[in-house]
Amino acid sequence: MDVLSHLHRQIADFTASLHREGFLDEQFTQLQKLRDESTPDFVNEVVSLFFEDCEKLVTNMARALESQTVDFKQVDSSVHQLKGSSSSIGATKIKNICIAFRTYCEAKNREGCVRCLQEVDHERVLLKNKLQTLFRLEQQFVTAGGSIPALQ
Amino acid sequence: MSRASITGFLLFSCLLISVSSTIDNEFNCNCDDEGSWSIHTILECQRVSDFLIAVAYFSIPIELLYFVSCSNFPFKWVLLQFIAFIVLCGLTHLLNGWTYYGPHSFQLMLSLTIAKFMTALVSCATAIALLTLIPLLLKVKVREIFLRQNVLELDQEVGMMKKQKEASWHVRMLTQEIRKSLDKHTILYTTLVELSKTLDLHNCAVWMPNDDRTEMNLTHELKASSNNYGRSILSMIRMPDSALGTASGGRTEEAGALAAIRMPMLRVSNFKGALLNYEQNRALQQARKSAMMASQARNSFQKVMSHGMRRPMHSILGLLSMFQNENMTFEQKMIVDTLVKTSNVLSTLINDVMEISAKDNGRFPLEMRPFQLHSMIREASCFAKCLCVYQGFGFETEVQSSLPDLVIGDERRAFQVILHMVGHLLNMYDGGKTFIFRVFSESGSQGKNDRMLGMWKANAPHEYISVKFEIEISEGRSLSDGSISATHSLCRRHNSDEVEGLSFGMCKKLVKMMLGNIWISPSSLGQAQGMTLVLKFQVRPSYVEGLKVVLADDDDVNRIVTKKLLEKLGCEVTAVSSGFECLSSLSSAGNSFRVVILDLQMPEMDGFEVAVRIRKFCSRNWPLIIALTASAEDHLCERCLQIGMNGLIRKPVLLQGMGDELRRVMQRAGEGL
Repeated sequence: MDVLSHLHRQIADFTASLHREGFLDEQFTQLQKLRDESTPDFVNEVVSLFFEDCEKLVTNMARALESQTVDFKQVDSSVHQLKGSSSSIGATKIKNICIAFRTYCEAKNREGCVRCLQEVDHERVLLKNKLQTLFRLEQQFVTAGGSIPALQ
Repeated sequence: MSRASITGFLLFSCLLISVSSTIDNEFNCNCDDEGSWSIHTILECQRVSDFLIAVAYFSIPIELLYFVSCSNFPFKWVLLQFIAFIVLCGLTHLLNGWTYYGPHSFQLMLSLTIAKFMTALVSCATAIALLTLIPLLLKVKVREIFLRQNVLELDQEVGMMKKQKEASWHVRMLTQEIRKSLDKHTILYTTLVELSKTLDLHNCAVWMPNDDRTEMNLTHELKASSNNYGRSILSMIRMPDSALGTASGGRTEEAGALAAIRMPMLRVSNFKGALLNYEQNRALQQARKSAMMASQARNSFQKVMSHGMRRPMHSILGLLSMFQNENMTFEQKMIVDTLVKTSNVLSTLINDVMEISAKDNGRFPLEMRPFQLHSMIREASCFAKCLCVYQGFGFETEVQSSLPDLVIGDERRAFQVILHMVGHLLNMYDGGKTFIFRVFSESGSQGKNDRMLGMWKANAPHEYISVKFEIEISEGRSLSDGSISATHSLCRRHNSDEVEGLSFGMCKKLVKMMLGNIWISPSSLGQAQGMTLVLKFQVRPSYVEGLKVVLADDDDVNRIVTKKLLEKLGCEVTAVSSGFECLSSLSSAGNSFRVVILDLQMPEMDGFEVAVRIRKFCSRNWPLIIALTASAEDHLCERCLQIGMNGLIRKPVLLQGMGDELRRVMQRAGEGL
């Protein structure tokens, strides 16, 4: 009981801090609400999928920006996709960078785009670490006997 | 032309005279030239003057003749005589002209004598004629002057007559002015004003008798005179030395010319022509007065109601809402909820009274809103239990557990009817009995077969449930507190003849409006033993349950999230990652998919193209298409509607947003829009 409540509190604090620092937003909370008994790992799956997609998109964009004649349209569509994904899981910081990224793409500003891309990558790594910590805590909570609805 | 002839004649005669004088001069000049004033010269002068006289005497008649011919002179014969006289004189003088020198011939003398003789005759005759003529002329002149005077007088008289006619016309026009109103004072005042204008009066006053007919009071006056003789009292009206006369005479000692008019005040019965108008007017005035009084009464009633009842209710409701925000135990919460509901009902009743009194048709609308049936039943039971405990009844309740929770109906009115039922029954008895409250559902009918509602909601999958609320007072165990039951064991025959009261009639009306039924089941003794209420509620249709949906989104994360969301709402989701797959799944599974949710920005075939193709392939029984997009374009919604899509959801997708949009689209499709 003590361990459970302790863990519960830890998770709550951590999530609150993530929200406060702007890593996550309301969408993430919504996502967590979609979790239920039948699919307990729903959020994990979605998040890991997101990071896979993110990596792929970033590599594509890096390659496109390195070439001599930059195909800004392709870069733009990739940024658009990234923006969509990040907003649906609630990764606020990445979403905001994508918005700025799009303006650079429209202005066909190569340096700006490269800079934004580096930022995106940086944020991705950060968020990945944070969420991995969160999931580890949740895993501990579940093994200790806690129920998922209590997490919400 | 005569003038020309006259001047011609004059010139000719001058010429003749000069010629004759020179000839004569040559013939008879045998004297010596002694000086200018000799006899010869004098004689010559005489001659010349004679001839001139003759000329003048000949020209005068010509002029006279001319004037006579031109004008209309009355005494022509005198003139002719005069003309003859002058002509003869002229002739004489002419002939004289030749008698100055030497012996005269016999013919000359003869003619001269004849001429003179004639002249004498004519002149005598003219003198005599003139004697008789002059008085005649004078008479004519006098008559002329007289006539002129007459004309002047007549002109004056005509002027005066015209003025009088105008005045009478003005007075006649007065009646038109007077007829404009039926008010006595207006009539009198108008008469005053118009009369003084027409007749140019200095002042005009109206004196009317008072009620006892003992005094005359001055009621209307045109010009308030400087000396305020005020309300002088008279006993009689007599001219010219009447008190009225002296009173209205003012300061001057002598009373001026005075005329008084006695005007009869017409009584209605005396004057049939004005009867109708007057009567109508009076009736209208009465009606207006009573209408105004009625509306005043209503206004004051509303004010009193509003002040005395509505405002305290508002305060109570406000306080209760504050209660609701507190942390309470479950029981406390239930009690507070019941309080809130009951006060809502009371507030509704007060509003009914105030608004229905303002509206004339006595109808009030039902507010159909979704509400929770379970909580309503709970609060009704709580309320009934409170009352039962207070009045010493036992309380039992039986509620069917399979009742749906979310229904659509008018919660306030239903609660009001239930409250009434409870109160009514509890009032009939004095306690010592058991109050049983039962709620269960009758077999719910499918909305499609319901004729009344099927008319205008043909295709909507509406479900109705009939809920039966039964209240029964049964003999049986009462409260454990024996004292209360002992004192109130008598059955109060409270209006036993009137099983149904006034408020019951109101409830019946309400229930009929809600398409339900209410009746009282009497006991063997004829009193009310139980009441049953059957109400129909529309179960909130879940448009989304079991809905088959195709979801097309190329982004994996988005797809998984949206799929999970839709599954949470209760749909059956088939998720595909491209437009082609979407089309193939639609065509393969037949037409079983009701909704297609499309991401607009897909790489190979974007949402718009998919929508167009879907519309082309599925000619009948289209699936509803909802677009998903992350862009914030303004005209995207219009574009989607143009293509033929039914709805639009913006990313990021929220559960609430998705649910609402789905429901909205399904509802619109269901209503056939």
